Amino acid sequence: MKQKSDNLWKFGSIPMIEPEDLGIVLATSSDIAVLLNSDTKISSILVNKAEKSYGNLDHWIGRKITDFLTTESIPKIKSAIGKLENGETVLYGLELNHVDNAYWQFPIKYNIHRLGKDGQIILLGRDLQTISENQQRFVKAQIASEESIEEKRELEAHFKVLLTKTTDALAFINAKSGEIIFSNPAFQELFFKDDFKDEKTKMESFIAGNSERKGFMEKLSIAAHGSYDISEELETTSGEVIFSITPNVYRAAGQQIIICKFLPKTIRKQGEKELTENLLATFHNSSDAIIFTDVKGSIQYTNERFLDLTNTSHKNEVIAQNLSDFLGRGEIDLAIMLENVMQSGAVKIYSTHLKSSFGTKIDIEASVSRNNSDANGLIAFIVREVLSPSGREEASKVHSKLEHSQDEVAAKELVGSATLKEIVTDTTDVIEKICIEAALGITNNNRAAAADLLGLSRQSLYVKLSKFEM
Amino acid sequence: MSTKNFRTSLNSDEALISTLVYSALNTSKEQLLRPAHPGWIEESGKLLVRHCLSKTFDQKTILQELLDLGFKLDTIVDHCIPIAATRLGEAWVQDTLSFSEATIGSANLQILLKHIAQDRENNFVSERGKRFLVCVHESEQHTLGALVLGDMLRRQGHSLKIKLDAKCSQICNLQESNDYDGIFFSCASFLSVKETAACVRQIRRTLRHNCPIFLGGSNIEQVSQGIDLKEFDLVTSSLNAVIEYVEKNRKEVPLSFGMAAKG
Repeated sequence: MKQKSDNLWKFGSIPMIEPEDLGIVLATSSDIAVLLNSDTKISSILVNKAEKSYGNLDHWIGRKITDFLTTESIPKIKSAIGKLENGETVLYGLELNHVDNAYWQFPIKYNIHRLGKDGQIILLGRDLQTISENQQRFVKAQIASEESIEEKRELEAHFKVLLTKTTDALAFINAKSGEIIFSNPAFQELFFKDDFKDEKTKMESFIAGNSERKGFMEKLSIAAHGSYDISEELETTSGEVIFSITPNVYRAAGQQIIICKFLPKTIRKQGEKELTENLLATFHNSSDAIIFTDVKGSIQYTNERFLDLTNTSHKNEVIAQNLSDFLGRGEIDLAIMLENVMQSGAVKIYSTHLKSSFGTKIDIEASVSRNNSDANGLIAFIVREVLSPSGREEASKVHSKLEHSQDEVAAKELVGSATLKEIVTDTTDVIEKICIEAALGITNNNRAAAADLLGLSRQSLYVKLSKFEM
Repeated sequence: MSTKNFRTSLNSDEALISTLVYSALNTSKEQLLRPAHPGWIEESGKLLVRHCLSKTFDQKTILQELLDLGFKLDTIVDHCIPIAATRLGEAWVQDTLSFSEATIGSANLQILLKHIAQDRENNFVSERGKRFLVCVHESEQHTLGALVLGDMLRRQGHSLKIKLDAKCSQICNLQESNDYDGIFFSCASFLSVKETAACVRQIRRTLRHNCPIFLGGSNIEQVSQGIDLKEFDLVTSSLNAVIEYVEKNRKEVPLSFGMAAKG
């Protein structure tokens, strides 16, 4: 078929179409055909029989087309009709959104033409519902994506606040490359001077000795998998500091990440080296036994004096053993001291016995303290022998003689003033009260521990406390 | 006379004034470069529309181009992206763009916005910031306006929850559990304004406490004509007007609650 550039067929190139055939041609060449009068009222409407979704549109006839268009479509049709009235040809497709009832919308792309000179207009429309449905799906996908971004933003806010508010220095390190992925302000304050940049900064670069850098990540990775801490001397903004590093490994987005917590252990090369040396000398030469345990009482370090008191020949025999194995009341003693030290940070004096490996017992007084950090904290026990066994026996003899003579006087005064039963009952009460007071004193007023120490149930202790108005 | 290589020797006062002038100019240089001038914004809108309809759209390229032209990130979000969205809508009304093209263009604008907004540092513990709920009702498909508003509010230090495709019951639940300082609705079409207004009537009936509710959108005046909007406390496209309203009608809360809200 020959086409002309002005989009019009040459007169006579198509035959005259009979009116009854034209209707069919129009109805089948479009999905919907609408005939408008000069006043833009719909005079006729033809819907392609293949299109079932529109339903019956006969109620449109006699009403203005703008009654069935969304507000944003009305100016479009008015503009197109205006152009036709001015004798112009509307060559572009007219995308209109029809509305019929409140919720039902459908988009149609129309070609609009004038028919004859009496102002009639025909709109030949192509259904755009398929495209519209795809657009709806696209919008839904876009909304879902935005929602997941919002969720991510919310989680990110929690994550950032958590990192900011954590006082321990934390860093997330790529296990393979050693690059720091994230770090918290506490870490940045320790290691970065001004404008910090986590990205591409390798953790090894903070190792104090150059020779130590090689193999550090491997060491860290092994520690992370073995769930133990490592000590390392790192360069901070204020000098070199030995840190206890707690590494934990996990996987995220296909990467293996090690999250590390850095706790400064000692400060060296900052004028405190001397102090450290003095402390070490004191530790080794002290006449008191000094023992460091972990929070569960497992012995980590001890000096020679402790070995003397427990008649142990070598440190290896006590390291990793539990301190309770050497205490007179075993786990009870240890539990009381640990609980108090965890609550108040220090125990001034605690009296008990120390058992040697041969089974002998000596009276001791222990003072206990712990460092400030909760995790990886060490508990320090300073143990002093109270009296030598011979001195204690002598003192005991003198004391018992004196007490015995006083007791005899008291007994003579009591006999006759009350029955034996009354004397025994009253005396038992006094003994109970004294023992409870002592137990509460030992346990720093911890009633649960005092009940354990006395071999009483907690309930029984409470009854006695109430009885003695304590 | 040629001024080339011509120098005047300045006395100390003049030198001081000169230093001050240059200092002032340098300080305001950021402001002077491509301010929110209508002409420039219009040009940036055209540029954005062209890029967003291009088959080779790349958000980084267009962003760099705008930055090279002297536009600041905030200006791009507050002015350039909205004007580009408006021009896309107008092009559809004038039938120079199909709605598929307008949708793609708008989606690309959203990608650009996301690209800019994702790197912003948020202030999570701002003491003066308020807490808002920004909603797009389920009858509305245009989400760009709400996201632009979201970025503007976040930059001002407010904390917000953006709820797209929001149902009335979801909004009520969110408000009951969080007691926001205000609820924003963003609308771009007559039908969605109508539906949103009905939803707000329902919210008012459901909520135990009264809460300021606002309606906004770049062409809200046109698309809301003939709809009963009395349930809204304010219908405006001005963010400042809304913030001013919230400040004036600030809730009196007990100190303990006020303290908690800071975090």
